[in-house]
Amino acid sequence: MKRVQFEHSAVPYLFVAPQILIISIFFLWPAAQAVYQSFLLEDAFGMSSQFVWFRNFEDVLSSSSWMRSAIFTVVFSVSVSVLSIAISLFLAVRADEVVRGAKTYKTLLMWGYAIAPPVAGLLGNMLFNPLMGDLYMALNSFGFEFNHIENPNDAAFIVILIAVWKQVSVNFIFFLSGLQGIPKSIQEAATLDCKSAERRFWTITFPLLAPTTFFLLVINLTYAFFETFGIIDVSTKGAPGGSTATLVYKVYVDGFLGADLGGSSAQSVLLMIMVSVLTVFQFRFIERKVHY
Amino acid sequence: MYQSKWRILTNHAILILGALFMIMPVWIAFASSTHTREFLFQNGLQLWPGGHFFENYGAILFDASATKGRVTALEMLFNSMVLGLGFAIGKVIISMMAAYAIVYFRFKLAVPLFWVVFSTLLLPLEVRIVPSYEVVAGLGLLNSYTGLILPLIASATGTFFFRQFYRSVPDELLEAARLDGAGPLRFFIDILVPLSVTMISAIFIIMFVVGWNQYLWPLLMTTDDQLYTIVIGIKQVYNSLYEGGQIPQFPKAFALTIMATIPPVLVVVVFQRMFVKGLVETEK
Amino acid sequence: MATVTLNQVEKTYLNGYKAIHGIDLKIQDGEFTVLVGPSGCGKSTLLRMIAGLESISDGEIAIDDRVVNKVAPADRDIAMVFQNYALYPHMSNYNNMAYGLRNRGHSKAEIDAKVREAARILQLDDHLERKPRQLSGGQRQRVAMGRAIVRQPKVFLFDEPLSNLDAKLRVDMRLEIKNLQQRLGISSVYVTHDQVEAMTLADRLIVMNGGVAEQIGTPIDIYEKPETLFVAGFIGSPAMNFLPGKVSDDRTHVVVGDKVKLDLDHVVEAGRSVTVGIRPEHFRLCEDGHGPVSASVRMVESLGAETLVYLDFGIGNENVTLRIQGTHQFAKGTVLTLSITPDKIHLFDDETGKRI
Repeated sequence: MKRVQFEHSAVPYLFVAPQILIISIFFLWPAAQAVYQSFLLEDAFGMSSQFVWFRNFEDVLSSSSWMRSAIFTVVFSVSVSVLSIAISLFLAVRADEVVRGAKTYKTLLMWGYAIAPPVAGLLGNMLFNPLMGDLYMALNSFGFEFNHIENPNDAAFIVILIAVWKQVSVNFIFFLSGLQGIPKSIQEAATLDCKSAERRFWTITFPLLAPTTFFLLVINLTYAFFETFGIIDVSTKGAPGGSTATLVYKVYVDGFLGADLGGSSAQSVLLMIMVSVLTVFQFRFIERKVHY
Repeated sequence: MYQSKWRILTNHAILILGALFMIMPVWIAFASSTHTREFLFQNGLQLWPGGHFFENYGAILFDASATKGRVTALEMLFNSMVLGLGFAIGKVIISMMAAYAIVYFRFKLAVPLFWVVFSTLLLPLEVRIVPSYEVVAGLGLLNSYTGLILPLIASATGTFFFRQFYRSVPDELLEAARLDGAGPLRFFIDILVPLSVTMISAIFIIMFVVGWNQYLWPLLMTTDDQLYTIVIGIKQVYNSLYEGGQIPQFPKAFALTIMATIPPVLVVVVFQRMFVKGLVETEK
Repeated sequence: MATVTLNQVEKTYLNGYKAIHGIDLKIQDGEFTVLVGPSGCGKSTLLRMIAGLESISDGEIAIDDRVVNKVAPADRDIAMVFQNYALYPHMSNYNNMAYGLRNRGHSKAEIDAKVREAARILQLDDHLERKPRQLSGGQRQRVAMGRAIVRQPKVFLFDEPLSNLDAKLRVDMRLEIKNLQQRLGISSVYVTHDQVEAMTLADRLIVMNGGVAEQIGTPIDIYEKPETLFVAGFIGSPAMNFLPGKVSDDRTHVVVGDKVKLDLDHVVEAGRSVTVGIRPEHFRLCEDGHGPVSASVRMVESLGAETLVYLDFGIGNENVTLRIQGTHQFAKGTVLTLSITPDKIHLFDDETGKRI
């Protein structure tokens, strides 16, 4: 905190007031509501409800569809994070090296940040459209018997591919700036010490990028958890049979389309706990960020 | 820096492939959006633009029936603009003020309020959509810009960016300002705000893009077509693609997609330096 | 033990900027060569071209008899010490030194012996297991040196290695580097903008300016017989005084201003306009008041061991600096009488800036 501060009775309260007001109405209240509702069971018509303690949680945790969604979410998040980090690191290392056209490449690889997830979802959906999707036809003409409408693995492949495509540019921006943060002379010293570029990467560059990589891993997991909603909703809609529905997507489907308020709230609360763990993890890491 | 010929060659090859990977889907969407639907239906997606650019884009921009609703793409673009700008402006102002109070003042509730703000980072809107929807509905804010924008602002990311930035401002500045007789308001307006211009612009750009690209919340909030943003419009058109036994309106869906993509992409590319700086520095 | 030969070496950057304009140089076996010049003169670029970190646009660089233009830096058998040390922050000091040897496939035992030997020489024995960030600036500098000497390369390259150290440490390390180089007898190229480092370290000095080697020679040669105005002004501190002058009709002396006449020890064509250069330390104070030059005192700076006096020569507004041993007190406006021995007067052509 600051060494010098103002001592004033009213001013700071006036300054935080707007934020606190908005947070109270649109965050604290709904969050409390979610927790409260997760303990309630509503009847089929939403007319009356009773307090049922942890029954909603028991139901959620013992339901096979939630477990399946949870497993898919983990597989999906890890695949998306690892793949997009690997691809963008590879590209960033090369983009950091080129001299000619460096700016152009940078622009061409980072603009994807601005694409909305549902736009990405729609593009993927079209490219894999059985009627005319180029990629769909290409895969099948190579004899893959690709059918994401019926085969859960194929559908998962599509959402992962779209989510990775959408995330590469963000990771690329961070990796490139991380690479540019490594003193040039260290790279040069390494060139004198080691002839193989690949070996230099694994012994010098990659260890020095470890903090960036770790940070991105957390960011990517959060992205895969939450921000992929738009992708799923416009590509597979969780089909076939809920096999590509992440936990967030399931909250939406059960709460809004299925009108199971208690169950959906219990799912929300479970998600909140998961995210909290992830965020605390991230903050603890940032607090003692690796310094060399 | 020393590089072998082979390394230089593969660098370019890899980067070109990477760029194509990023660009091709959008390019195919653009090329396909300039053909007739019959042509697309018979020949599949297209790599080269056809001759129906003005016809297709004109139709969805100005003719509501082309977007399967009661609004034209032009109106949706306007809504997106309101959402993007409203979100960015609201977020910047509110978080600047809150961060100022938290960093520069000693007051009783400073610590608990900080934790309230911090807690919003733990729970993104996505996990509390159902109750949030109920609250906004209860306040009668469904289908209004206020109801669309305010709940999105209720997260503290911006506050943390500014908090970080203020903490890096040298203490001597406040001491000097005090010696010059500036009170808390003066100091904020005359010194801190001008000092933060780069930071403000960077966050503004990022927030505009984030706001423009919002999907889940507007989807729930806006049951009235008049408030559709262009991102939501895409979903509507997509939903109606296979209705009614007609040949699907793929070209128009693509045209809408392209129009939803151009504004945020332009912002990011034009303000690239500032955007990258903002993104990288604030996330650290 | 090697020679380094530069043959018409040029460097042109992608944007068309020409940083090095055809340099010829032969560094003898075991010689300590210093490249000195103001920032932007191309000295670092030249060093980096020898290292292989910059490509060579034209000409040839050879280490011994092998042309290395197309040889990868790691294969040139050179070692370099960087300005900011460029130590690998994630590795222990031991590993920093061992890294290059490992990549060259030396055996574990051999690496260990070499690293420990280098650590002993550099007094780093107690710090081998630590990371670079746990060391002081001077110790980091030693690790960087250690990384260079464990390899026993043919050539050492130093890129302003002392500029990040404080003044006292810089003197210590300077002596240490000279000592180490003489002991190991490895040919070295050292880049600096600090002329004290340049004068004290160099067997041979190369003064660079605008991508050109202005003069190559021993430090004393360059001090005593600067070939160009630039070299004359760059080497020596405080800098040489320059005064406009004209050679007298009888060609035995040069006239500065309207009244000052200085004797010459060599014959120059009569009436020629020249720049007269006199080092501050080469004026003699004539206590008896008889001498060719008289000038009034503008300001005095006492450094203890010596005194700098700024004089008004009555030609324009320029100060003329006088440097005399010991402490002296002169009131402002005091008129001093000075003399100069003819062999300490440097004449430069007004147009070409070349020594006459």
